[in-house]
Amino acid sequence: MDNPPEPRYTQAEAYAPMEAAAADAVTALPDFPGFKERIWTEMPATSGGIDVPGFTIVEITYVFSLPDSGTPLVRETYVDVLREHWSSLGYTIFRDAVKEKPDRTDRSLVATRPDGISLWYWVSGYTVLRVQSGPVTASDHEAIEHVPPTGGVRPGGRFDKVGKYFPDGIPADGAVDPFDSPDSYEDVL
Amino acid sequence: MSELTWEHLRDLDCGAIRTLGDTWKAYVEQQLAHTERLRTEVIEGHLSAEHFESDTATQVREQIGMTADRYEDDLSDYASTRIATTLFEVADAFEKEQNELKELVPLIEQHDFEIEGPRSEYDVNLSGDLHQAILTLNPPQWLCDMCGVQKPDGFWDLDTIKVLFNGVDLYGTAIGLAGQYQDWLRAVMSRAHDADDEAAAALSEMRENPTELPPRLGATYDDLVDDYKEGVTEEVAGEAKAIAEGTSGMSPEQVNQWWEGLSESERQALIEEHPEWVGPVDGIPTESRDTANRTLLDNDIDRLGTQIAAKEQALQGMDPESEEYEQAKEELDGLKGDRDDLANLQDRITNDDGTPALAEGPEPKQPYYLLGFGTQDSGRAIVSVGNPDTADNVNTLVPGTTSNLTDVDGLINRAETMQSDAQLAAPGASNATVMWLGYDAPDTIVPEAMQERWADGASNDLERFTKGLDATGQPNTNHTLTGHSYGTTVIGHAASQDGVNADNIVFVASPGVGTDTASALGVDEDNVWSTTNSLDPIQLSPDFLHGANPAGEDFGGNTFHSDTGAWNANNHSTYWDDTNMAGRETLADIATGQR
Amino acid sequence: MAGADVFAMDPDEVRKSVEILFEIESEVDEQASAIATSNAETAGPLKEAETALGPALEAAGEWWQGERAFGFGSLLGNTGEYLAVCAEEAVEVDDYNAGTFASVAGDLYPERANANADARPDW
Repeated sequence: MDNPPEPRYTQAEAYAPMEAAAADAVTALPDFPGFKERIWTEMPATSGGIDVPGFTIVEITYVFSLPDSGTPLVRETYVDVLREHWSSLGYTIFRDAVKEKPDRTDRSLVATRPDGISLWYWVSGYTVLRVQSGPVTASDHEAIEHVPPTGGVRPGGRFDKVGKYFPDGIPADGAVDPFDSPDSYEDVL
Repeated sequence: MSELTWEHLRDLDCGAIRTLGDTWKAYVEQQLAHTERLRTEVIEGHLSAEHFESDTATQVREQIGMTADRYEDDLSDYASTRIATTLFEVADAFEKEQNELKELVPLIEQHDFEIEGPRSEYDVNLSGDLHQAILTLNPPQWLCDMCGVQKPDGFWDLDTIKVLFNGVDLYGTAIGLAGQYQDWLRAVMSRAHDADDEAAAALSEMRENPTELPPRLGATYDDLVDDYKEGVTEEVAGEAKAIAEGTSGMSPEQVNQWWEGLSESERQALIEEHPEWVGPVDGIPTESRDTANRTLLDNDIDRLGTQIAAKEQALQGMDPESEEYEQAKEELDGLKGDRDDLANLQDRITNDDGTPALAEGPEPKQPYYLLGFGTQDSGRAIVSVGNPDTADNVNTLVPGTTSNLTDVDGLINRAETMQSDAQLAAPGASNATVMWLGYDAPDTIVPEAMQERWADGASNDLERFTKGLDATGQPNTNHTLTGHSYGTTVIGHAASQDGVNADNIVFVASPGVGTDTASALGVDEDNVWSTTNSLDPIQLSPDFLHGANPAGEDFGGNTFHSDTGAWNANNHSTYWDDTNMAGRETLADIATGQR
Repeated sequence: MAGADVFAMDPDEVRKSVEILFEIESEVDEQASAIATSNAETAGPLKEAETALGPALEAAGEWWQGERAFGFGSLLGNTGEYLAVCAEEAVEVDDYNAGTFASVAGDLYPERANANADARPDW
């Protein structure tokens, strides 16, 4: 079994740049309606069919509400905006696909950064922005700090789905005053 | 033992079997009218206390009531659940395979092949005429088409004959096609025999340990009736035990009917007092299994804790240099490993306050359901993200080589990813994903994953699990069975040998599925999907190990694209990674019925 | 069985109960025979086709008829006969056996002849 190349980040270190990447994408989106929820998950890092102990892949998902997921702004305009934005930053557009379905058109745009972080804008039933770490060395959950969500999700709220990393609640010093994070970016962007 | 031939199967009157099932159902209704009459016209009518009052009268009324109860239970347990349901299930199974034969046999005949050999291991061979045609370089048109050559226009067409003689593998092509038909035929007959034997077992086991009838009135009645009543209180427990131990012969659908026929208090008592007879049983609803399995998990962790403490104490009195000490230490490490694995599983699916945890996914958040676990071999774990009994789409993931209980977190992560992707792709539907490590997976790629025995060992259990989901789920649920790596081999063996309940089958990174053709899987070929990325070494697996690569051209079914992107040359497990969004999107579409 | 302190009986009503019990017994036997016949008719071709189901189905039908349906009907018959005796001469359960019925049935239940009594186990 091969280990991944020395990762640039540990799992605990990866969340901040990944969240920053998501926040950067949000700043590029005009008339941004706000995300409904944020989810932190992990996937096994594998080699030759075998999960590599000590490594993981972090995936951060920001989900638009169902009504917002269906608007042309979110389903079409944002794909074009992000394609241009990520290209301008020198990211590699790894996937740019359109899939026609009987009742909707799905789109998928994936960009990778030199540091191994990937950004995936997936227009499906819901529309989501996903940020992925690539293989990183796994960290104890105690070492992971809460990074406030971007895009209007209330930190520590019902839709800030990071609970399994913070079973005792979001640490006070790590959390941002929820009232600093607006529910909607309509008035500020 | 089923000795059905393919000709017999082709000619069976499945309608007659189903009609007999209907007859039994109607018979049950007819008989229930008798017990109803006993209650209304006798117990509460002519023989009521108004007309007959004494201790004896009370006893006789009880006797008649008890007799009616017994008959109603018999009608439910035997006439309906056992006989009628068996007939319906076997009629459906035979008819399904009959329809396959109706498609297959004409193909065999059209291609001038012949079915030969003993009934359990049919061969499909080239006929003498076909041999002759190939040997004389006068191959039939279909073979020319398959080989991409022109059919010679008689012996004088020397150019074409030269092409045939020199470069075209007519025999190999014909034998390859015959081999696919042979796989298909054998799979059809294997599933038919399996259904036949299971139906026979369900009926035979019914007669093995029947419940006692109430005693007759007369001398010693008082003693006998007490014994009878005691037997009745233990009846459900006896049934539950037989079902859990696999000696009842009941199908998951029959188990489900039995369970639904119990009273709420009987069900509750079984869950609380005998969770071991509830948790692992396919056909019992998910909620009940989950509750029972969580109790069993608690109990096992406690039991292991006690064993560890005892072993540690014993170690203290031993000479650390002794062989006895070494052995005890090894056993202790094993116990600790098992305890840690189970505690890890428990942590994953349970909140700190002991309540069932919810997976961190898109709304609505899905609970984890524990459908099975064990520490034997490399361990077992069957965990669902979302309730498969209420879901519109259920995707069951069968993991592959090296999957074990110790690494269950990663496997559940993968199932969670799949559930999350499905939910995002189909927000209007409810979606559940089950991680089914219900078998002893190979520990090594060489030699274990090269052997079929792990798949064969899992086949019947996977069959029952998928049929259990069908029994407990919604009538129109879209069921997908997704295998990864050796998990595809497991699915292929189960589907072609025993039959599985699945609308879609997905093979991800398959080393072969035990058959050379999608047609042999018992699922509409249009709903069989395979993917192997271009850098996955699994595609180099030789066909003689587990059969042809299902992502290959000749296998049939569909293929879909998966991107590469591993950090090393081995892209065997990158299908759910952050480098294969294309594959993940397609997997989600298949699992939600959007392909 | 302990002696009864309270005893009240309307023999005509008890006899009506007996008739219903015998009637159901007879219908159950007849209907079980019919279902077993249907069962055997379907099992025949299945046996010829060398299925495992065929013989198992036939045996299941026979078992149902001979053990369960017959057992049910027979219990009703036994209870009916006991009640018939009760209606004629108040007996208690412990004192009853099938021979008692034979001695009192007389003209009331000619179709349940004495010969039947021998076939009814007194255990």
